[in-house]
Amino acid sequence: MKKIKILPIIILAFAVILPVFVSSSYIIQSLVMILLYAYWASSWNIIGGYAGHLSLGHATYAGIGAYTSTVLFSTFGVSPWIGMLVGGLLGGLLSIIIGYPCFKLKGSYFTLATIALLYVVQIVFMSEDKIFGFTTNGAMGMSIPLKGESFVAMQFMDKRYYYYIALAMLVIVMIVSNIVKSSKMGYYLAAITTNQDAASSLGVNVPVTKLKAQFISAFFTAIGGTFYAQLIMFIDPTRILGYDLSLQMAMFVIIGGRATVWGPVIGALMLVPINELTRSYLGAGQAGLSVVVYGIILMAAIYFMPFGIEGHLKKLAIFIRSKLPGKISQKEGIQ
Amino acid sequence: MNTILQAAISGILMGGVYAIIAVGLSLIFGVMRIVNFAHGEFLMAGMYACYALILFWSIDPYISLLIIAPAFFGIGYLFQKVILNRMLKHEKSREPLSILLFTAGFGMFLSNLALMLFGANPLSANSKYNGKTFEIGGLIVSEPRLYAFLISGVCTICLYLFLYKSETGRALRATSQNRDTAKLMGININRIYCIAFGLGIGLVSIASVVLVPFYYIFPTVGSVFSLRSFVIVVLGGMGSVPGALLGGLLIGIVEAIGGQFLTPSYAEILVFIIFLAVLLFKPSGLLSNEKS
Amino acid sequence: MNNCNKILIVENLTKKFGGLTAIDNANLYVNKGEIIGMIGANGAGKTTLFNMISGAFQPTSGTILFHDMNITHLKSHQVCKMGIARTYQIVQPFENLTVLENTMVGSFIHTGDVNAAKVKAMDVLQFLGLSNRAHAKGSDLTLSELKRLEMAKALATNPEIILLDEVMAGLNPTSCGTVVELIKKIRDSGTTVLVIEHVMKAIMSLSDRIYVLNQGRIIAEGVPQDVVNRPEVIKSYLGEKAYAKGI
Repeated sequence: MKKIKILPIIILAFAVILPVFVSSSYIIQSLVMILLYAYWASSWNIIGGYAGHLSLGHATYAGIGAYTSTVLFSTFGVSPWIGMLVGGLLGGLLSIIIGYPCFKLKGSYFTLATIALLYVVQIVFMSEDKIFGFTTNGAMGMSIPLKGESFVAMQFMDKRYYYYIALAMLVIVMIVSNIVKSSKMGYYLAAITTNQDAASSLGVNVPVTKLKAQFISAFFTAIGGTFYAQLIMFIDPTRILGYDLSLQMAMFVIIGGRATVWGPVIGALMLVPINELTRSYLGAGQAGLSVVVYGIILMAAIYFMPFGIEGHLKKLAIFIRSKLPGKISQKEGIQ
Repeated sequence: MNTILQAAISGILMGGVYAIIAVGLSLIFGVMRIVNFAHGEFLMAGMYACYALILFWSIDPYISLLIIAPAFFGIGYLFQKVILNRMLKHEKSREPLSILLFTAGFGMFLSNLALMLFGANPLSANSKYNGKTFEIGGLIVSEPRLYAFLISGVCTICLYLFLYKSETGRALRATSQNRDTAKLMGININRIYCIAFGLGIGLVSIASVVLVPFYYIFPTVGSVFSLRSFVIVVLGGMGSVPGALLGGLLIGIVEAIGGQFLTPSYAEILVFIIFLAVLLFKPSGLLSNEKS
Repeated sequence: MNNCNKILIVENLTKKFGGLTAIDNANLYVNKGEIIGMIGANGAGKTTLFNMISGAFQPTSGTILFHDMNITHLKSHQVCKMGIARTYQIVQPFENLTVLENTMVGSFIHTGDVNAAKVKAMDVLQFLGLSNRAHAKGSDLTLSELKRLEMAKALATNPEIILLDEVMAGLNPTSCGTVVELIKKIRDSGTTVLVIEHVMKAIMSLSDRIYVLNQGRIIAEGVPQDVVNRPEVIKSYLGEKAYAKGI
């Protein structure tokens, strides 16, 4: 008999109801960004957390997703919903082509390879006006053709629609993350991250298992890229194919708690607002101050909680539960 | 042909500077398995420090080396002692993930601190070496670049001698080969780590100073050199001083000559492609005997 | 014993590492249901042989046949799927997983279902007397328990042949005795066993046949009592003869 975890459902219900009480479009937009980053962090976690391969070039896939759907839409009028899936598949395919040779690299070498690849892709997109014959506008970036209010074109006037789409995407990727973690693949990945050879001697096909994780991670990351494009209505190589975005994805997961379902979400939930707040309160003043403060917060978080916030929250939840009288402790903590 | 030769010379001279930056990075990785993602930002900091010394006290940059290099050694030593050593205790794996990201965060912090303090405008130091050139056999050689190369070269050789002829140097090499055995031999690992990081930062500060007479200073100048140095370290083999030297010269030449035929962007891509090729086919470095 | 019983045949197997010949023309066979002992001085090549059979190393030349199928060039995960599992001399537990989870990594081999894997893993742990430690982390186990965990992981893959590499190394005589009984139990349950061991008493009492390795070559083969009395074996094992005679 499966125990139903109540807390996640409560949190979800809260998230669903929240936009009803928020009138400011700016706040809704900020919430959407939080959800998007939580989504990206969760996608990254599949290869970065569960499989233990620190990729600092994941924006490659976000960019592929964003450009694929945008090119398909602006050149051929293909709905971004379809473009999203095509982008996801392309991102996944590229990730396997990259992953196959790169997974043989150990630790930091792998990370450096992902950075190098990201820069190659970014520089190409910045220098060339056309990629494979399709117009991409180089460093100037591409605007998504404005259609006003259109579901098919994934464009909405009311930001709330974006909020619910992002929420749905996040829920989906968290479910996938949970499945990966608690399935055969999760056990295999956990074994691989500890000792590849021992895992192999127990029948684990190490390369194939890693490539599966890589594909899933890249697929979802790319889909996030399409969503970003539709939200902001403008993409350029500096941001969507940028090292900064890649680093943020990793930061949220490391600080939130790697190789867990909620860790990446917690990380994004904490850090994106801090980033936003420092930017709005300090950004207007001295240039660079907001990032200095943000940087200090990041470093402090990594220094004091090297294994992530999620672990500490879990301990807190256990502690609280032990203090509650018997019947009330039916509530399950974060899993 | 002359332009190519010209470019090659310029590339070799720059390569010396790349080499010393890479050697510092390589030392840190070799001894502690830490990839210092803030390496370029330390370079940037050194450049601003040297600039300030020229501006406020009219100190000759090459003299300021005597102040800046030891100071930066001390900064690196303390950074390791106060922060990184504590983090290393927690991270059990051989290649610490959280430290990598910490240094990345620190780099972000430093470059924005510079932005805050000095603004985004590129600065050019007013030293008496600016723009001076020699003429050798019909070729024009930039004076500050030549000095940069010579100083970097001498320091790199000194480092090599230190690593192979001194007690501490031997301890450094021992620790990089086998941490646990070194501990058993009575080597104070924590002190060695501090020395390694200090040396790494000290070396990069030497590069900072010799760059100032001919290179623009701006808050993100570090990232340009960071990436180059990663490439060089891998090319030459992590932990290898001759490798870093060779790699530095190679990248310097490739960049310079590539820049003659390709746009700057594609010259950069060329460097990255070489990097990826080495990673995939000979990750232990061009000089090593290991089969990949 | 006729050929139908030979489930593993190694023919002219050689392994060279550059100029060093670690295994030189090894020939051996294993019948179904046997316990085969492998002895030899340190560095004789026993683990190298295991590594080649299990697919961890690629042989320089020679053939390995499993049920008449050529498995010489298969990778370790493929060999394991075919039915040959191995343990490591220096135990390799997955430190961040519990004993049960460790074993499940093995039991997942023929199933994708988490519950089925869990049940199989618990059975194996029960078989080896580790079920009370199912939820302990690798770092909390004693050496004896770690050795048994090593065996549990391999057994969970439901192998036809299990290669045990010095599972008794470092154990006290009581624990050794336990392991001996476990090995017999493993054979009785239908798994063929190859054992590398230095504990002579154990090898003598366990093995149906013994192979003796010296400097990469198999120098003797046969029933334990015969083999230990041969001059070439005595020469390479002078000290151990006392134990052998004591059986």
